[in-house]
Amino acid sequence: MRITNKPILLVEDDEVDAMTVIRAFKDINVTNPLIRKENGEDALSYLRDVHIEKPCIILLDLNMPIMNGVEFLHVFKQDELLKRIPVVVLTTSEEQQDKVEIFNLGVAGYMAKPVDYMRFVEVMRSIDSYWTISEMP
Amino acid sequence: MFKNLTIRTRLIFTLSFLVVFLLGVEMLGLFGMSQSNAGLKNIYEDRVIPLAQLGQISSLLQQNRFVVTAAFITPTPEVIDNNSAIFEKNVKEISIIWKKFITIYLTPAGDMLADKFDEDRTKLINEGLLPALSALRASELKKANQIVLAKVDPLYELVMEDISTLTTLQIELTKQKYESQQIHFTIIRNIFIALIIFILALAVLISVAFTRAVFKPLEQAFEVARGVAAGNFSQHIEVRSADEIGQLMQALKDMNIHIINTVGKLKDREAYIRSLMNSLIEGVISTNEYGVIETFNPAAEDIFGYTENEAIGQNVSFLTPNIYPNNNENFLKRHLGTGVAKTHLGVVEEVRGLHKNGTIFPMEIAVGEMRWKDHIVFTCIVNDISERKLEEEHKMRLIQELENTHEELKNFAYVVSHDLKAPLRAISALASWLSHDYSDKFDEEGKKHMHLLIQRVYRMDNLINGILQYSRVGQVKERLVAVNLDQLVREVIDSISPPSHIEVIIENILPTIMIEPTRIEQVFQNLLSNAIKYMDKSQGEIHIACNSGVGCNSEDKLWEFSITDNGPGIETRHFERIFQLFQTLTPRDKVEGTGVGLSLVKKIVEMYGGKVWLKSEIGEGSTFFFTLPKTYNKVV
Repeated sequence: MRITNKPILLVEDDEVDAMTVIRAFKDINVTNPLIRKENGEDALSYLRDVHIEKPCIILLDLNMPIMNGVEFLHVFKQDELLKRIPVVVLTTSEEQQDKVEIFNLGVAGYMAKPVDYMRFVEVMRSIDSYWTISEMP
Repeated sequence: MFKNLTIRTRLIFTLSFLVVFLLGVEMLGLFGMSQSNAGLKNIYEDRVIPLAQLGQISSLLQQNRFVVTAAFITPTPEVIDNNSAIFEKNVKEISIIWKKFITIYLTPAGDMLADKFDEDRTKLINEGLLPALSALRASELKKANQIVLAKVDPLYELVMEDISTLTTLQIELTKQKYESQQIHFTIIRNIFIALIIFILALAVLISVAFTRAVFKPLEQAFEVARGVAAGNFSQHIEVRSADEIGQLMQALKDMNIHIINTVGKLKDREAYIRSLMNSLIEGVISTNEYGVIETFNPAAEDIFGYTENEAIGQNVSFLTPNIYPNNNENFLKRHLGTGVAKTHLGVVEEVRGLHKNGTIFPMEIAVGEMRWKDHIVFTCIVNDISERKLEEEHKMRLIQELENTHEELKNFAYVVSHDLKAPLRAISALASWLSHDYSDKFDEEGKKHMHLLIQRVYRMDNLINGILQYSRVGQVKERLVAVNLDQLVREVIDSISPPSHIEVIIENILPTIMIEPTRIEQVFQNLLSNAIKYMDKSQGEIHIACNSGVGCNSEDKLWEFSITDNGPGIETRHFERIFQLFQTLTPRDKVEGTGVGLSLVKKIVEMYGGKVWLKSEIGEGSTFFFTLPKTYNKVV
């Protein structure tokens, strides 16, 4: 994100998906440090660590072991200190029910991961430009 | 004759007769009394008075003799004159009294005696006393004394004897009269006694007659009425007379006949209802307010194993097991014993029943309450639902299995969408990076292979998406909204953006229908994209129509739509195959297709109760038809 240089938190268990995000950010010249956690639980314990700088945005996968994205959001949105950090869900699922459930939890965005890498880059570019323009609390 | 008169008439008649009879008796009595009175008066006048007269005459004669004798003792002229005067006066008086006396009735012997007395008296006065008195006046004492001795004394004796005889006769007569009078009285008394006895007898007779005429028939009527009241309708009722009792009997007879008719009708009705109850396949049990069984029909016998006779009179709780002390066991008691828990009345509940052989079985019961006069009658409709329960359980198991399968399928779809897609995406990304990062290292063959690899990955992605779309139909329900098809189809055409050589024409204005927008969009999208994808002509034409002649008429029950193209056409033998999942007619390398589109269309249309079919001619083109019911809501 061009305005802040705060870290970006990626919660993603899949190695290649994580690589895809990293590569896409590199391709569109996003220089924010990227912290990757493999599941919701790890992400929560990281976020609650007082020593770290809070991320400016969280990219969240839904289908993860130990604590999935939905469970993570349930806890996250109850936490007064965290709940204002924007969460963009990056997922494979195009199920209507999943979308409804996720938006009910107050996420900032919902992106389906395209199979085509180039289209994925476009998605990433959109996220970057949106959160570059958007005001933050 | 008399019998045909009414009792009232008979009563009036009898009473009148009694009154007249009593009046007659009264008259008779009065007449007898006056007769007796007259007789007494006769006795007094004809006998007592003459007796007194005789006494008077006797004393007057005695006085005259005394007057004469007194003149002897003191024969002074004063005394003689004085005594003579008394004497004459007495003689006159005697004559008067005698005249009165002889007017009375005397017997012939009496008459003779009277005549003799009259003669003797006249002799005594004329021959005895008068000469004696004249001699005294002439102071011829001696002569006078001789006259007295010769005439007066014997004559006086004679007269006295006569008078005594007369008196005796008179007394005799009086006695006779009195006796006859007494006899008369006795007769009258006897007549009265006889009358009284007669009246008494008459009273008894009348009573008996009345008893026979009124009370006996009344009693009979009473017996009949009591018999009818007791339910004996077969008794013979005889109408013997036309009087009130006869009318009463007639009325009783009519009543009896009426009751017999009514009872007959009631019995028919009861038999009808009973056979109705007997033919019911539901058990019917009725109880009084304390739960005592009053009705137990054959179906109930079958259900519980008890016969009607065994069940009637028992408390209904013996038909329920004792296993739920606070709950089901008291189900019947709750209504039948206490009348509490009225909320359950009329509601079908499932409880457990106890068969005679001890088995406990599930039953369905509906309890109704009915007020019968002051009583409450509960009717229970009972069904043995063991079989149904088993079936239900079986069904439930099947449903559970189905649900499990369904759930698995859903999970499968979820797994497919997430877990199959993730590696696919990874392959795609890696292949893409390889061909990008190492493009200078690949020769033409390698680049072609990379291209094919990526292409297959996309195909795989399309297939997975197709499966997901197909499996979502019917699972994910959207709300039915009014969809303007005309607008929707135009949007679909726009989104497909057909190539310039293909013209898509909407023939008429498409209707607005109630449907899930995503689904109908998928239908048009797939049909149109197929038509475009397989178009082989240089001038492609696709016509979309709502077939007014068949389905767009507002009175029809179905909408019918058609999409006609002038593409290659489909052989008739493929008509079925093309609607099957993953079936395509062209190699996928030639035309990219998953084989999901038409099966998806079929699934959606059939889900709404419609049909999809096609007509086609090779080389000329194909027409796909589908219908949608206008009242989809009701179909669902």
